[in-house]
Parts: sequence; structure tokens; C-alpha cells
Amino acid sequence: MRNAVISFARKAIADQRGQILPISAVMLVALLSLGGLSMDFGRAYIAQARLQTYANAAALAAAGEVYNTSTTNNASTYADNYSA
Amino acid sequence: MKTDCGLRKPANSLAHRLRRLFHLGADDGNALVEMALVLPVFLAFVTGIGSFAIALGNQITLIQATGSGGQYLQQLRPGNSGGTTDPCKDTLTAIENAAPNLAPGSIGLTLTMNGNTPIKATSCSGKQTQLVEGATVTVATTYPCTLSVYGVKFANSCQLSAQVTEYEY
Repeated sequence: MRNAVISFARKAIADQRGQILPISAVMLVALLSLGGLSMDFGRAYIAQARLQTYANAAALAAAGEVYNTSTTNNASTYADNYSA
Repeated sequence: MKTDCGLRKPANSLAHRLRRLFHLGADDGNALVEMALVLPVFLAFVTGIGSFAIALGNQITLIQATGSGGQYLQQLRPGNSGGTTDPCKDTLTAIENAAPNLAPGSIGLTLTMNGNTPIKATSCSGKQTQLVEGATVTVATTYPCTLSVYGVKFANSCQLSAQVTEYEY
């Protein structure tokens, strides 16, 4: 069994045909992993941008309500309403 | 004549003539041929990732520009300084200015002011009367995207969208 494995390895190294195939297989896994990672980062950045927009809207709504009514009674309610 | 892979080929075949011409051995150039087979697949992945990256970048820009447009609209009420007579046009201009890398004519805008019927237009002259202090204004935008590799599209219709609701000052 061991000799068979060694013999196969020697033949595989000596034979120049099909050398690109295993290299490509390894590269493909790396490439797909990086592609998936970049997609995840992209989606995270989109979520962050949405969250920032909603936070801005909530803050401005609360500030506007305080400005218009001169009380802070409803500020948190307005912030909640405009946060999504 | 017997080749390395055990197949018989005529000595005057194109492969043999090319080998003789360039003084090549039986295995020479294998990597080149295999690379030529694999490279289009790799390039498809890379250009696909690039295509998605452009769409994701445009989506982030659209979200931020829509937020800017909403903040602009919330202060445009008649009576405030800089009051508008065409909220759709002014808001769209604000969004286009906030997103210089997006094609201005391709941004679609829908405004909903104080719970009235949504207005999907680039101009809505006279509709500033719907802007009421303390009421809500919703700004929704769309932008087309193209997800393709080698000119082949992943999806027939791809549209980015963003929406924000603001308090009218």
C-alpha cells in the first residue's frame, strides 16, 4: 500500500499533464472564500448605512418634536417611530 | 507512431508538425493549454465579484443620498427659509447632488407627504401644500443595476432601492 502510494506520487510528479488541475482546485476554493467574504462585508456595510440613515431620522424627529412643542414628553416616542 | 497517452496518430498530423516546427517534446505546452482552459472560469469569478461590488457600492450610495434627500425635504416646508414650490424636483436634485457617481436620470423618486397618495414623479409643482409641520415625509428611491459576467446577465431585472421617513420641521 505504502509503495503504491509512493509510486503514484512519483508518477504524478513526473507527469506534466494535468498539473494545473489541482492548482486550480485549490485556487478556486480560495477565490470562492474571498468572494463570499467580500459579499458578507458588502452586506454589512449596507446594513450599517441603513442603520445610520434611520438613526439620523430618529434623532432629527425627536429634535424637531422638542423644538415644535417645547417639551421632551414625546421625544423618545418620535425617535422610536422614525427609527425604521 | 505511438504517443505518450497510448494513442496512434499519423506522423504528419497538425500536432506533430507544430512540435517539429517549434522543437517541442510530447509534454511541452501542456500547462499553457490547461491554463487556457481554466483562465476563463477564473476570470468569470473575478468579473462576477467586480459586478456585485459595483452594485453593492451603488446601493450604499443610494441609501446615503436618500437620507440626505429626506433631511433636505424635511426643511423645505413653505414658510421655512428656502421653502419649495416643487418638492419632488428639489428633493431629486438634492439626492442627485449627494450621489454624484450615480447616473442622475436613472434615479427614480417616490414621495409620500403627510400620508397622502405617493407621488412618483420628477416634478410635482404645487404639492408643497402637503408638507405639514410635525407630519411625516417618506422618500423612496430606486436605481437600476446590472449583474452580468461576459455580458450574460444573472437576473433580467435588478433594481436597487432605499427609503427613509423623516419628520417635517
